[in-house]
Amino acid sequence: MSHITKEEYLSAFVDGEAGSFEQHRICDQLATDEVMRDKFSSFSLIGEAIRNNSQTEASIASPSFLSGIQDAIADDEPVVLTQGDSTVISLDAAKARKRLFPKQAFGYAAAASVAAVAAISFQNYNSTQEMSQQTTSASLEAEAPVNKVQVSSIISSVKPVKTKLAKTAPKNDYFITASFKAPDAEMRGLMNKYVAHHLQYASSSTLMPRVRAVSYSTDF
Amino acid sequence: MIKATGVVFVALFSSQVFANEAGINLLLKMNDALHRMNYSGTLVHIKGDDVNTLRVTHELKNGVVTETVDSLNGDDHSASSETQTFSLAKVPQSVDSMKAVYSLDVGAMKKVAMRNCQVLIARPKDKMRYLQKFCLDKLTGLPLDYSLINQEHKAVERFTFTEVSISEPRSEILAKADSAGTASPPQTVIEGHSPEAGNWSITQLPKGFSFGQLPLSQEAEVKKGMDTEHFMLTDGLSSVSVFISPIATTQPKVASAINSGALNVLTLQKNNHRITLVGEVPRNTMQKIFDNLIYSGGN
Repeated sequence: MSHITKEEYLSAFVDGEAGSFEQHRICDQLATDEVMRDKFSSFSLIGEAIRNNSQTEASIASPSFLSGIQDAIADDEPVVLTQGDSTVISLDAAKARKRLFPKQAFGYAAAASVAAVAAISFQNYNSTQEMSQQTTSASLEAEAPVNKVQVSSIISSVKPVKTKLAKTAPKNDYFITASFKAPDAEMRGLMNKYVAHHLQYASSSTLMPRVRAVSYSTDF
Repeated sequence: MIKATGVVFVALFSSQVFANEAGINLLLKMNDALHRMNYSGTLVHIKGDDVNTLRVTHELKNGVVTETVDSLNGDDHSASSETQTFSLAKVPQSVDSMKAVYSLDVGAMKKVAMRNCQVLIARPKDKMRYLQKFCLDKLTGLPLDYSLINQEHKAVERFTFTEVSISEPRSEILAKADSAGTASPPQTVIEGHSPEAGNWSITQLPKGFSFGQLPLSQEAEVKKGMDTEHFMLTDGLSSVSVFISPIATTQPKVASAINSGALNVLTLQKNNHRITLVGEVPRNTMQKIFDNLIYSGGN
């Protein structure tokens, strides 16, 4: 069984041969491990030296090359803007100016998106209005009181078939979690009756509850 | 930038208002079509892996709606009813509660059963209800395709017409139906019936739900043979029925649950009462309703 060391993974990473998982792992390690960073610098320099075949230039750089650059950046003081001197721009102002464009772009993009959404909604609204005009049935005019609903044959059609249900295995859309048990035949009969009542009365629509009632009766 | 943000908000608000209003108009039109149109066709009902094919006939005759649903899957299952024509009197209340918990989006045009239909989506604003997607016939508003989708973006139930013929009844038949509807006595309905008057109350309803209306004839039917209380909660699109009956004998506390498509049924016990909840909502919503049921009577 082969054992791949950290150095080998790092070497593969420098050579661009590490997989994406390994790349992420090595990046994480480089962020926290000082020794790894030093090795990484060394490997990079060695690689650079081999590739460029330029030993002289490569030897100028040391493992602390990157930290040297970082120190130099830290030492670089921002230029302060003085009143009336339009040629001198502070670093913060320059950054702010750079940000201005994305902000404006974002603002315009957001406004354009909203305008597009509004236009689409308006179109939909218009098309709906058009549809409303096509059907002359005055849906909003009918303000009559709610009507009597007769007890229909739906209740008798959803029969609690006790013996059949006791023998039949539950269907795949019938689920029972750990906290809920399968209802016994008596309970199932009661549930069926309540389901029938619910589907009969507890809906403002007609078609779907009746379809559910028929489907339910085929299930249980 | 502030001005642009203001414009964005105004435009967003306006577009949402437009979408909601257009959606509500479509829902009203759908309800109207379901009750007032004559239609017949073949409808497929899909629940999980189960597919049922059904023959649907709906006819308005002499002020009475006759609706028949027959299963074509071989078994002798059918449901039929005769009701007087529908009234939209209770719809405005439903619309208000619905707007609080659903955002309505009017989508693209599609074709179902060789008819053009408009997609309408009622998107829930919380996890207490299912997303409902309709495709409404462009000419009449009849739902040609309807599905309920859960939090995992899976359709728990779907109805779709494979062929349908729709016709509008003659104007005199509609007029007769309307007058019959207006003449029916309003006292047949229990206004916002709640269990407050009895021994049971609900401390907090799930957001957007309110007590729905039930006909008196139904209450008599439920109570027939046993002392059962029934009340109904609705958010305008989905509803939950709660049945409460006392348990005479000592029984082990068993919680039962069954599911059929979007329909969930739970039976639990509390204070020597059996409480059964039935509705087209997720089971968690039912559990919440049950948890908030408080018994104030003596044991």
